[in-house]
Amino acid sequence: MSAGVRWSRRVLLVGGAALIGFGLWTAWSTVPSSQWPSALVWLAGGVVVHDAVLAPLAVAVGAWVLPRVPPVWRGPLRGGLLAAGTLGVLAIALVAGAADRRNPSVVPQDPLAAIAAAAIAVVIGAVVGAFLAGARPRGGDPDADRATSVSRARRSAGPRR
Amino acid sequence: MTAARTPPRRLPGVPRAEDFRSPVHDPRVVARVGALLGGAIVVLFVTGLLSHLSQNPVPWLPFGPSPSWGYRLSQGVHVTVGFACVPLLLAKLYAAYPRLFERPALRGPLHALERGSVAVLVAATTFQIVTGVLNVFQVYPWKFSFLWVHYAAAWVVVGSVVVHVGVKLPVIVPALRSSVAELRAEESGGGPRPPSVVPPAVVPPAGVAADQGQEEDPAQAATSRRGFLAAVAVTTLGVVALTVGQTVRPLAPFAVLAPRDPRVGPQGLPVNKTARSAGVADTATDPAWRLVLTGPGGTRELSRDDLLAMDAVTAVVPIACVEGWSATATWDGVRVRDLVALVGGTADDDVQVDSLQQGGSYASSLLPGAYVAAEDTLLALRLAGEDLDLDHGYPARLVAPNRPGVLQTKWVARMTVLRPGGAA
Ligand code: HEM
Repeated sequence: MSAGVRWSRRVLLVGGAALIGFGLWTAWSTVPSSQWPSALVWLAGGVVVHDAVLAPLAVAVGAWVLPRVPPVWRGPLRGGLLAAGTLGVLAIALVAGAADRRNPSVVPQDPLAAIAAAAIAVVIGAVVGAFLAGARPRGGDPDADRATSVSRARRSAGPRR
Repeated sequence: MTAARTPPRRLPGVPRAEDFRSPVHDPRVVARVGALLGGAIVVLFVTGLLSHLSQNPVPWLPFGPSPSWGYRLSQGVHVTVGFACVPLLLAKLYAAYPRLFERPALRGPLHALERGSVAVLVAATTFQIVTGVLNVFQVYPWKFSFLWVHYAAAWVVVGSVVVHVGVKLPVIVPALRSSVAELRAEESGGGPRPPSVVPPAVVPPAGVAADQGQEEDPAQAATSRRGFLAAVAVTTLGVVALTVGQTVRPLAPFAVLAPRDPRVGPQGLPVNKTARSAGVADTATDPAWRLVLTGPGGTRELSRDDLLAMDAVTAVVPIACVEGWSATATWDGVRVRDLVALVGGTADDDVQVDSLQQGGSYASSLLPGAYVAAEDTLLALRLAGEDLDLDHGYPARLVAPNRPGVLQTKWVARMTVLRPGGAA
């Protein structure tokens, strides 16, 4: 580790700890203690959902799903799942917001139609991704140079299709 | 393909960090996604502080009426970047999650501290993003004040990001210096070889492999890394494209995932608090309503007709909600500085504006002198050429450029000129 990295590290660790300390002090002095249990449940909840749901799901997808799909589809599938997860979070908020609208201008759109439209965008994105991945050099090709020139030709032909 | 179909020999129980062989978990990818998320968090922190300071003013950073789009831009950026953090956070957690399975789990006190700091980082950041998103959809399934907790958590989030960068600096620097396209991190970076870049040969080929059978050849691995980063970028931009229309009107037709449409609401403008929920539906429509003006020169009461008879001014001023949506609107009304002059005040005085609403954080607001002086600061009576809708603050509301929507007090009952020294 160079001296520069060593010093930057110290500054970051001390500065970061100070910022955390200020945040905790702010919480202590402004948030009424009756609200702490709920806030702590929500703080811990994120970690629990990650460790108990998201991480095992990701392990399962990596261990069982990705190896069973053709290589060009793995990346797009992974990317599509990332987009689907994002959409999942926003979909929960949309549906909950629409279910308990405080006034008609909150979530004015039909949430299911909105989610369907976004889901179609995700699928199109994954298909386009697979198409682009297919136009790249494939692994395992014994003649890498040839693969590159072939894929280049394919890629330049791509948009015209 | 046949290798991939071979059933795993070891039963896939709890995997270990070495089992994750997908090149997506390479430090170069983790560091790049981290840089994006970290950059987004810095933007959130700065724009969030701007929002905090415009609601809790400090002498060293006085906000004024110009630029009229200032708060609209900063809070629009805050919430849009907040949405963009959803895929960035998921991608960061995904890219880095093999570290969760590190063995031995704890190597000593320093390592325990390091892992503890990651736990704080993940908890605080996930909390901030999830509760932030729910809040802008007006979903509050918790029993705490979003504003206070969000403010305190903001410092913890930023602090834990800074600590995390400090802890990981020896990995981050070489990871960001070497290109994702290069075949092996350890050949280019010179830094310590992180455990997730295990060369394929070291791992028994038919072991469990949490993401087994993939991309074992280096060219394919480089493609995977680039592909993953591209997917993160596309998803992030996609979220922005499908939400930013709540602030950028031309993109409103695409804002399918946004909580608001800037074109939808009474008189074509969204509403945050309705007259009914503020408990003012009766008092605001009472013909006996009078604006009570108090200043150094005494007190005056003005009916809505009196106000309509004064010099009318038209101003185009955006409403920019703390929840991130905003919309430009055309208001007609009386300049606040003209009202203040009626009771002996000057354009330099601060004005306290009280609503008919009883209680609640936004039942009154302080309008600093800099805003009072502005041409476009109105007590608005009409919107888009019609009488104000009850939900937009009928009979009269405050509208000033570059102010958070919560301070644009609706259903105004009283305006009081404050003189330095506290005397009214
Ligand atoms: C992850 C990092 C984030 C940080 C560091 C951060 C920081 C802040 C800060 C400092 C404030 C000012 C609070 C105050 O006025 O006292 C704020 C306000 C706000 N933030 Fe965030 N924020 C983050 C994420 C988000 C997200 C993801 C969203 C939603 C998409 C969001 C939505 C809001 C809203 C709606 C407000 C205004 C609250 C109000 O005035 O009622 N924030 N943020």
